[in-house]
Amino acid sequence: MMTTQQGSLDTAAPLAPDITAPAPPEGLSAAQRLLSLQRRFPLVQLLLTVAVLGWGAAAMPGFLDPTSLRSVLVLCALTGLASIGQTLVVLIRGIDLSLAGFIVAGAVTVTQFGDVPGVPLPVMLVLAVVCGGATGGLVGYLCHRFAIHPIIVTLAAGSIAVGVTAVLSGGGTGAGAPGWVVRLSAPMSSTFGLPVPPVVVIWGLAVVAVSVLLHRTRSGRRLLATGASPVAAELAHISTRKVWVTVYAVSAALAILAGVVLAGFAGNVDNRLGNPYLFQSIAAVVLGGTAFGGPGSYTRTTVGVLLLTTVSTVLVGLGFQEADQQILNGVVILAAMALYGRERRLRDQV
Amino acid sequence: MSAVDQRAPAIRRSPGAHFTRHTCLFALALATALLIANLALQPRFGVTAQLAAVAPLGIAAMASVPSIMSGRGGIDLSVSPLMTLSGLLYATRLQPGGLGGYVALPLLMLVGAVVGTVTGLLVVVGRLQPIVVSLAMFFVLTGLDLKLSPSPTTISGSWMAGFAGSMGPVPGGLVALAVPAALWLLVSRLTTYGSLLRSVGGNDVTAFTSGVPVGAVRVLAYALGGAMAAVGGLVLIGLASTAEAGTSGSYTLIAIAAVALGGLPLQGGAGGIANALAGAAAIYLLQSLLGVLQVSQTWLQVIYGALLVGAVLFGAIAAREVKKGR
Repeated sequence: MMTTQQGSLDTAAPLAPDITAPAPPEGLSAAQRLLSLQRRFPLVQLLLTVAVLGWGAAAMPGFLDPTSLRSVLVLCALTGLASIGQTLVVLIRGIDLSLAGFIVAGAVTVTQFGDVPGVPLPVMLVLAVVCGGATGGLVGYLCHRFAIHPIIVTLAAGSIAVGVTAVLSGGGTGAGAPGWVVRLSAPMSSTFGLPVPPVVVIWGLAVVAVSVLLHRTRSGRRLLATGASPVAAELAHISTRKVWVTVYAVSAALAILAGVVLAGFAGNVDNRLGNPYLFQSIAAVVLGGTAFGGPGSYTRTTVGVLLLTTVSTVLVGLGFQEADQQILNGVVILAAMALYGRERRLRDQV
Repeated sequence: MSAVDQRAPAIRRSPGAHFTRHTCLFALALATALLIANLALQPRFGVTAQLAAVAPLGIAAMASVPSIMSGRGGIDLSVSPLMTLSGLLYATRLQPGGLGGYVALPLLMLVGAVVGTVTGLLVVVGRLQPIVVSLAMFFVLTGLDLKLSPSPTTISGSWMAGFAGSMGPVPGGLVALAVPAALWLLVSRLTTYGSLLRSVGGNDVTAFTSGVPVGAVRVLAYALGGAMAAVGGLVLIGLASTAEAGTSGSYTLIAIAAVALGGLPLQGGAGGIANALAGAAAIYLLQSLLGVLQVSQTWLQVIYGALLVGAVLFGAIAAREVKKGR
């Protein structure tokens, strides 16, 4: 990762005179410009994604076929949808380990409660989202009111969510997801004539919606302000508690919806369905360059998701084992953190 | 200062303050109640077998303690795959290499300490968030585990079988728990390390200005955790007679749950392995009790989650009461 960044800087170096020549005194060098651009947008990650795609195309004929690209996009969309909540929570300096639990809860709802007499499935889903949202809100409230670390409370909430849905469904995992849910993420399905599966379109809309919400609305500003400095936000008459409650409620509700889509994709649902997506969501957020408490955005997470998914797809295609992938996941996270997430020196904090 | 000191006994008398001072009391009371219930319901509640069964969780929880105590979001999510790594190293490298005897224990503890040192250095020198670093280490170690042994390796006739039964007159589980506990107590009580760690965890800036080598203290905390975790891998072999990569993630979340239930403050600077042991005992005894009552595994999740929230809330409210009292 570091070498690639170095490489991109080197190739840009000859351009430096052209850019800086008109105004040498106050002009920044090309390297500095690129660095400041990198700070605002995950350029290196995007270039890496393209490089990995190129590597895959060179090594595997047919890798860039529409069919296989669609499957990659579906995988991206699933991880991306699961990471929305995590991005928001990380932006307010929290972390959400309950994602895994709520994903399972959503998946169980759609596979087990489809044939409850008198209650149609859509009503059931709304009910699940409302219950999940309420639980998430309670988590946010408890963390903020009693200053408890979110790791513990979200861990407990996820466990409770899995337990309650399992109790309600009698622990059965027999029935599969209904057809329309399966079609959402089937790689060969299309959306209103567009040749991509619905889940990809939903993800695209979500990227736009979350970005607008975060950066162009008052609520988004409140959220970012809360993450940047809770004390300053309080002084600016922002109810940080309300922000915490809302963000955790939204995160839980979105995780339930992600679980619904995942149920259609995975086929069979068990209690561990959510775990890989929990770890991937944290990895994608970190990889995209969103720091705890900001700065950050969902577009960065999106780039993180694209990189994470293409790397693992290419590695699987090239016959690498799961072991190599896991190791690479870890190394990639560390490298991304080294680029962004460094904290101030202790001696500068005195 | 002296005025506060004189009032201190009055504060100590309030139950809330008592619970704040000894943060593991809640988990201890819970564990005692559960133990009594277990003894009443299970006529064949053998101490040896129970100690052996609780040992891996207890060790995983204890190994999580030093990093959390070091403060500033310190946490080690890589304890569980490190335990598995230690077991797999024994099964695939040490035993075939003729180092299968007792010498394996210090060797593996050294390996654990080295891995912990790497995590600690990344946190301290890299100035990175501990939760992200240890998550990355979790991935790397899980991958290494899979590489070492893609399929479970069976081990028979090793001295580790004693961990499941008894070693001489002593229950094996007790020995298993005593090794990491002894390491911790030796380092933290016989040297000034314990108080240095508490000062760093309490306020690292103050510790830094007082001349405490903050970075070294933090790195040593992760190294200690790693060495303690390595013992856990051998105990897992003793219990299951196999070493497999599948256990890499098994103890990650439950170890944190045990530590939190035990009342270790996650902001660091206080507590000790007593919290971890009390929390692990409470969780294990609860699982055991629910098993006897034939409560389904699904309810276990709910009860366990509710208990966790209850325990931290209790701790937070107790801490608040004391603050008000002053």
